Amino acid sequence: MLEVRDLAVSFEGKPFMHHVNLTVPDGDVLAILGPSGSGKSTLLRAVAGLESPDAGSISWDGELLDGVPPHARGFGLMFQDYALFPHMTVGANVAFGIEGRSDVKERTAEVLERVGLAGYDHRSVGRLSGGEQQRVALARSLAPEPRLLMLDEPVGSLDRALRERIVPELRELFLRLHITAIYVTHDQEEAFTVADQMVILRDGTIVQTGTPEQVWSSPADAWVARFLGFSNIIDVDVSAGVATAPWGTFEVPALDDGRHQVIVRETAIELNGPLHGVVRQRRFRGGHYEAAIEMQDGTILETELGVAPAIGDTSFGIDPQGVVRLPDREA
Amino acid sequence: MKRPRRISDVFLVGIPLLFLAYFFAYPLGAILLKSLVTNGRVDLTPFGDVFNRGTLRGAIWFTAWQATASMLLTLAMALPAAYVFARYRFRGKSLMKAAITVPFVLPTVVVGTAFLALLGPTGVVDLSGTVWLILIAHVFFNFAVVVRTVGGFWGNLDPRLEEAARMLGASRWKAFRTITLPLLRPALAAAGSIVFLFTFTSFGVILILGGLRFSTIEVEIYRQTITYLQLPIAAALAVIQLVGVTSILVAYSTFQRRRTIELPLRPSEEVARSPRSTSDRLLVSGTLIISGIFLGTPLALLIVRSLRTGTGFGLAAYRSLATQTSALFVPPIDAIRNSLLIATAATVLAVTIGMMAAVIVAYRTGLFSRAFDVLLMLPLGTSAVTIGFGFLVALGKPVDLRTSPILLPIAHALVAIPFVVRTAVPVMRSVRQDLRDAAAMLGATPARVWRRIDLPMISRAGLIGAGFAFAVSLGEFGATSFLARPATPTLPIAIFRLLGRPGTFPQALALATILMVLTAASMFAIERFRFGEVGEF
Repeated sequence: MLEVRDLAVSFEGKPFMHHVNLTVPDGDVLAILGPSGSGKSTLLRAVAGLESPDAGSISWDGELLDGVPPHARGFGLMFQDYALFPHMTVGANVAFGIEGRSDVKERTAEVLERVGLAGYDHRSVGRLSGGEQQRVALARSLAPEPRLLMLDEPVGSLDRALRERIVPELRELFLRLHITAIYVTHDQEEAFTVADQMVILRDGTIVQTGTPEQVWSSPADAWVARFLGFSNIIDVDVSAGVATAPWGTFEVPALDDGRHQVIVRETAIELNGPLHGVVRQRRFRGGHYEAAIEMQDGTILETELGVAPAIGDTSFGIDPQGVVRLPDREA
Repeated sequence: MKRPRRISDVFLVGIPLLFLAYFFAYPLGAILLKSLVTNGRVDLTPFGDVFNRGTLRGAIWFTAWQATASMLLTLAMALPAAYVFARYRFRGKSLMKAAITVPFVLPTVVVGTAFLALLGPTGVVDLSGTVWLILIAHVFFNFAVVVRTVGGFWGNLDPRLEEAARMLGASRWKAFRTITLPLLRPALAAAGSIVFLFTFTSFGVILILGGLRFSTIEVEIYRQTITYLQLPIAAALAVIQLVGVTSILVAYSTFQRRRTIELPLRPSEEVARSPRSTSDRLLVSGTLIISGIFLGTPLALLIVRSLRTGTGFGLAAYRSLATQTSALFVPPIDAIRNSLLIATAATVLAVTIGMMAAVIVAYRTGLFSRAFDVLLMLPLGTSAVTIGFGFLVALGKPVDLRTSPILLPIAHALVAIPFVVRTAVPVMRSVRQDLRDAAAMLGATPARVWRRIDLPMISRAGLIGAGFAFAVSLGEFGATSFLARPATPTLPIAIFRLLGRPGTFPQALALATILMVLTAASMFAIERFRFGEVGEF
């Protein structure tokens, strides 16, 4: 089990990351999600021992890792652009971490087969496609059976179709091999697919922790909500189960009275109802439509609809199930 | 691939080729003839004489082993600095990088004089008469070659490769040995061959510091010609040296090509970082301080001693430069004017011809362009002494140029052209096609693309080349020692003569200081025009 307590790291002399706390139980996959520059890679590098923290502790099964050099930590790291050794073959790359073991050959063949590259031993790494390079990098980090596997944007440089195929495969692999992993990404869907637990990082600080379901159903604040892709973040006054926004009112039976910030999920908006607006834009997304409805005061509500709305005046309602209250901002 | 523009190509290839033919191939041919043919018949006795005489055999052996020792010593001593410059960011880095390059471009005569002041009979430690004096001076000279060539390459090497090895359980040392070192090998080999080449043909340093005990092929060519008038033997030595140099050049060229293999390179600005841990800081400051002391002391001492008078410090040595001595036919101060005039003429010649040639090497592909590239490098490998000797042997006919004032500028330009080409070609090649495409997509005509994208970078490369050519000419000693006329000595010649006479050491120190300042000034001017890390010197 990996435990990170009160970690602080500075970058080029400036404090950058502070009060980071993480726990990764054995066999769990933790996703670290955040926009670029939020400190994801720095955090990974600190855990790996490639970056030395200013304060805080990193420990494995209760044993402190202070001063333990990267190669002695028993951790694996798959780099963003893979960092394959260009002067070595595929086989030599994979075998690098297990040199000296008696079963180098067998083990190399085994992991290569596991990632679907059986028989690639003698290929030069320069001649591989992006997807193949990614799998060689994965095989290389898996070969020494690290007690913790860290992946830094492992599918970041692949095209969308390949990404969508590979991420579930990775999840499969982690489960089957009972791998403890940290998975860094800036893509929320990837994080949701792959993780048991996730943390969201912003400017070097963790702003939310939880299971993917928890994070999705109750974002910690407006920034997280926006980062997760929610567009309708609305300030409302609630009184007796009715929310009043500048552009109209809708029912929110579960919410307490007072001034709140709420998310109205795109899917909570249904055509035909008491509210009125103008459909300005409609995008067919295959399977569903996205439409932007402009309200009287200029507010734009984004919607996801099963049927095509007509451009122009429309009426709609809001399903209270799809309204989520954000925690009140601290004064 | 674009078809070459034929008509302009004829000029761009033709003029450099004619220049090289008359001033390089013809003199070399004359040397070859002199060594092989006596009275119209093939006669190999000069070669036999070389191998039969112990001193000459010894000179060949010494040339090879001191070059090997100098190369290994330079690599070992400069590698830490190469690493520090490649991987760390620190205040004053670019200034320090320029400063460590100063010794490389300093005239051999200046370095010889400085080491004589530091480690000669009147120096801090007396190493005169030992080979160490020569080896240390060679390391001093070539330090920057290794730092720049290896460091430049190292800085662009993705450090994540080494980190990946660490994460796979490799210790720092194992990661260096199995990943970094193999990837650095082409750069190490390239730097090694340059250093070997330079020290293989070392002349001024050996002539000044070697005394009578140590002599290289280069020095023997000079002695056999000037002292003993044994032209066939000198010619045979020159041919032997040429064979050695050509093999090194072929090796160098091979490594240069291999350097262009696809590696995951990242811009060094992105990779370099400030030293953070205490051991990092110790490594960086320690390396910089040691390098600084090693490179700075001889030069500082040269200046200090040039200012020393019998009673204290003053400008007495400088004032005495206006007075004629028995060492020279003119007051030493005349040498400054001679040198500046010759350097200006040589620069104009070298830049004109070098830039023409560079266009062909950079923009044309195929066997011809590659062969042309090697051909242009040859004068760099051919020792300056051989060039001077060849001029003396050949240029009496058909037009007697041996007394012409243009002779020295031509000889210096010949030595400087490879520098101009090697500076300009990488810059020309570095103008990326996508920049041109982007300009074209913004509506620029091909002519405008050339004018706005290619030309500004190329003209800067030309200015840098000019700076090099000027510095090279100022310090040129090998060819000049054969060709300078007694009434118009250049600075290095004047210094050498002053060193050879008892009692004129202070004047030699003063003149060497002046030459150093002039050379350093043209180097710092270059740094202002330099951009990025493009260029091989």
